[in-house]
Amino acid sequence: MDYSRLTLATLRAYLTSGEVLYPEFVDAWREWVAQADVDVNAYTAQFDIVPPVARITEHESLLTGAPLAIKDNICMKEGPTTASSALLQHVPSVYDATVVSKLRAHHPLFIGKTNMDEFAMGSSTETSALHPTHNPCDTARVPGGSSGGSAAAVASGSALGALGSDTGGSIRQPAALCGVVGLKPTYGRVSRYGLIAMASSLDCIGPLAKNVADARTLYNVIAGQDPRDATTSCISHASSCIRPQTLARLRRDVRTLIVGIPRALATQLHGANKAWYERLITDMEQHGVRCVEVDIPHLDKTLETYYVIMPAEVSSNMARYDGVQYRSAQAIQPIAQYRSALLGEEVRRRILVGTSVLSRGYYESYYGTALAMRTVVRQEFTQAFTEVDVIMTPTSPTPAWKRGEKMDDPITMYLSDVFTVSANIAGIPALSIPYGSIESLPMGVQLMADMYHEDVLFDFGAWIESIAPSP
Amino acid sequence: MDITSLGALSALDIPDSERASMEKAVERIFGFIEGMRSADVLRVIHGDDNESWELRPDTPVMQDDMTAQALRAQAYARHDGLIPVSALRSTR
Repeated sequence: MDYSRLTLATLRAYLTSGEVLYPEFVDAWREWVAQADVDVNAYTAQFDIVPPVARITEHESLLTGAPLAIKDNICMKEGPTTASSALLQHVPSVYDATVVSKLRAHHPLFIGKTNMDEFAMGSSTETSALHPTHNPCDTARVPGGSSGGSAAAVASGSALGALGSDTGGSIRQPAALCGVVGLKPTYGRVSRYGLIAMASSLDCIGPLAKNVADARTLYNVIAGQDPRDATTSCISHASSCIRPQTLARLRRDVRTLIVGIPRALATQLHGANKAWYERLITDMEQHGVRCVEVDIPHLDKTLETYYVIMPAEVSSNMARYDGVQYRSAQAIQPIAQYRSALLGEEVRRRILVGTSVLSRGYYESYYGTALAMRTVVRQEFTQAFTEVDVIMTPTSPTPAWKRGEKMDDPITMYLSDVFTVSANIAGIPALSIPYGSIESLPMGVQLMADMYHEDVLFDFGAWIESIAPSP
Repeated sequence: MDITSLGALSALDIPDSERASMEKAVERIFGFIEGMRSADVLRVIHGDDNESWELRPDTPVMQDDMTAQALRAQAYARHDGLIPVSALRSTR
């Protein structure tokens, strides 16, 4: 059995075929993980837990017995939740996040916690205080971030699915760079109880998987209202929110959906990357999909808006790490020294910028303006979705870059989020699907839809997946 | 940009050896987000009268779960005597 090619459906077929008993499979899988992860280092911790399942039957959930990984900023009772920070390295988790409880009810095989940028602040998993993670497609390159460990675990085959968190593209960008599928759900669709907060008006938990069907299976389990998270939506059936005209086209044929192309964003692409995007649009049109230019006038301001709102919320959320509530052995020292010793450079940078934009004199000109700009962009997206069903962009302006290449200049790194932050600013869902490659490195196409239109993304994404060229 | 005062407000100690590089990085970031104060953004948010920082009445600020008010309330709720009071006061 080639474990690297398994999906949830093929694993189920294998486990119910009678070829192998489940406990034997678990032992063999652990050996496979050691082999698959040796040059990747996707995990911060691995577990030795066997789900209480003797044999898998066809009647059980697809997730039963399936190897899954969890980003290390989502709490699990099995050990510390480090957020890949030295500050939390020895702080044990005392409860499960709601998303973990929901998955646990299906008895999956939790492989471990995955590496990430420290406190999810970064786009390459290089700011992890624990160790770097390498891209399985080319280990000299980064896996993207901040959910780089989750994407690398799925891409290397050591997990069939994983959970990540997405504040400005942290699920979709690593998914694209590693050649897997990643979903950022509608804001409020998935509980964040047990997620270490970064920027609370932007954070979302979502799935990464090898294909769209598996991402959908994971999403359907973790989505829904949670009394422990007041920001979760009370909508029980998101499909009832789909716009009637979109639903009609979806039921007729996914190829009748109208795809919006925000041409202004194409100016961010050059050379081979630009040619890749143009070919993507041509491919869609050749398959009969109607691609139309869509106008979101202030889309080009979303990155700046994001880099004001996000650090402002970071500076507030990080105030809780004062050395008292989340204590380490080094905590008995002045608070500023403790924080400076244990927080990485990027985290400290964002705290400083966030404190500054919330300060008297800067508040109105930066933070207040960014909040208003966010409303404007959100209204522009709502207007755009009266004309098109989905908006299609690249997920990342480039394929995976070499390790260390962008670490010297924060702005170069921030620009890699240029296509993804708008979905977080607007609160809408977005799905990244692998589509072809540039110089043998995977590229991802991003689909965005109106709030609660995840089913539209899954249906259209599955169709794109079926026509996508091999990486 | 006075990194020292920002560090004090953020409960961060910026050692002398790191001050220059941190200052450079923060200034780079402020250069990047300067677009928030550009004329076209101000026109969208404030109309043609850029003298006033008051929001146009027809431009509602998104009342999400974590607007500025919520952030402030959160900061005050966390105040346990360790976070410098000056930091809370400066966070309007």
